[in-house]
Amino acid sequence: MPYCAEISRSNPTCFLFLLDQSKSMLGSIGGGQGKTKADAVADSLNRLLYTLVLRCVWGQNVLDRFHVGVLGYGRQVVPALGGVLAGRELVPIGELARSPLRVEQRVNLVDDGRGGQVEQIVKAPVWFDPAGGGKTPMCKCLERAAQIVSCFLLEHPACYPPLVINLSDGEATDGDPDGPSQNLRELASEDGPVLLFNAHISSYSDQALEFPSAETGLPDEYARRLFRMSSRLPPAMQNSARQAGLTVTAESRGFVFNADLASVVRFLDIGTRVDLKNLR
Amino acid sequence: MEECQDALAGDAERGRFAIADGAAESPYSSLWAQLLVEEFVRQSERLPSWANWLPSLQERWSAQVTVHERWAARVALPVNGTAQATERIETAVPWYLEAGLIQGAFATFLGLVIEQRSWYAVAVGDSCLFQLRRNELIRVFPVTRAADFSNAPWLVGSRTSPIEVPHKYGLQQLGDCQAGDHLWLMTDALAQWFLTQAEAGSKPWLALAPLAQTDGDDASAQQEFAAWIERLRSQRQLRNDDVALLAVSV
Repeated sequence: MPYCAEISRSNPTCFLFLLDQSKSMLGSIGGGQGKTKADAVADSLNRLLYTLVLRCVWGQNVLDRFHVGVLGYGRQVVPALGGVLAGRELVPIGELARSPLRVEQRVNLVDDGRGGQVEQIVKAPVWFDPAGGGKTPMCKCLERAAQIVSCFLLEHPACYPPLVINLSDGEATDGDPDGPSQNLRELASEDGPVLLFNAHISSYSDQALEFPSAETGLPDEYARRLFRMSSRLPPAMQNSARQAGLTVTAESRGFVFNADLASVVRFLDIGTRVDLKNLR
Repeated sequence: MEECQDALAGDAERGRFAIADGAAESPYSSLWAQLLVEEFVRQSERLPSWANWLPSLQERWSAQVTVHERWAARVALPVNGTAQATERIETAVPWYLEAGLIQGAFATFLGLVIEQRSWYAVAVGDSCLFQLRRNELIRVFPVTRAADFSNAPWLVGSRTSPIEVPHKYGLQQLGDCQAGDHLWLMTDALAQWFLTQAEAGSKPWLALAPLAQTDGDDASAQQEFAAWIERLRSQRQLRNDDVALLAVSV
């Protein structure tokens, strides 16, 4: 059965994020909260990386269960990690954890255990700042992603299949991304084909959707195309999604609309025994 | 095995024994597991209420973690004057450990008390007790079927309220014991193997008995146990996880 390989230091998998940095991303998000789509995807990516790192913390260390890369596409298609990681296509997650651009502080409101709330200051690492300029060479980016993933698969043939996550408003300007996305999804490890998931951020709607099973009901052609490009959720992820209270079917795709994909990172089985719902 | 987070403790004279399985992804969980088992064994009440013994233990965990973090910060960074030193200590915890330190450490727990002809046990999570009499398995607690092990057992937290999980989801059990009985405490991976074998009609205790009857402090016995565990792992009979076994003979 595919998608059963253990994700561990000795058998790591890869997370490759494709980040739309085109000019259209400077448009505001649907619902007009004064936030641009570039702001939203940068937030989303920072949260995804945050979640991914925390899933690798073991005692006082970060285990290299994942190799992580980010490709930006806008004026050009380039590795988009910054600071000391600039120019690198894939980096072990421990290195990523130690090298954000900066660590900001955020104030969260948490229960004080006596019926009230207290402010808690938490650290929020930032790897990406919002950016936008140029066209949307999504096809070229998918092709580059396929090259990077192929190299990873050569080194890790038995890995849990690499996950490629595209964050975009869906308006490709260099052709139809169906072909390149299909080529990418046909790459496989011994444990199954590469998973391509899409997080679509829209200017035209503030409706949010997670893991739909059909394209009917999606608001526009860009959304429908990104839906068609997305892999089906593997059965184990479907189960985790159900346990988290989401409605998913065997046909559910790794596609979210105006929502973030941090849940996908939580749905990966990496043997963790601290289940948030059991903490209370 | 990345790093052992299981802990065990026992006082044969007082008939008190405990094992705990620290959740590896939480920081300082092996310390937490160790504090839990040692403190349970030290208690004088048979099965003390969680609210009575957990809070002071949680304070000790917190104090030891704070000392450790400060020490680590002093080693890592130059200290110039007290005010600055305090500030540096706060910033020295890497961002990815902070959430875990706030949330605390977690562990499953199984405590056993033997008094004359009875035993009393308390469990949170899936560390298990097996009772053997005349070469037959007569009692299993708290997980009774191999299929019931999951990746989300109930856990005792170093920062969560004693009247929540351990009180609400902890289980207690009592049984009788006779001279010659064996009571084995195991953390989840070995317990799951044991139950799977027993359900299939074989007698896993026969394989385990020679290993369980050796002295745990004996280095060659430890090596033999480790080699046996390694064989089960390579045959994929045993999940790759920490293993702890505490064998008590009445």
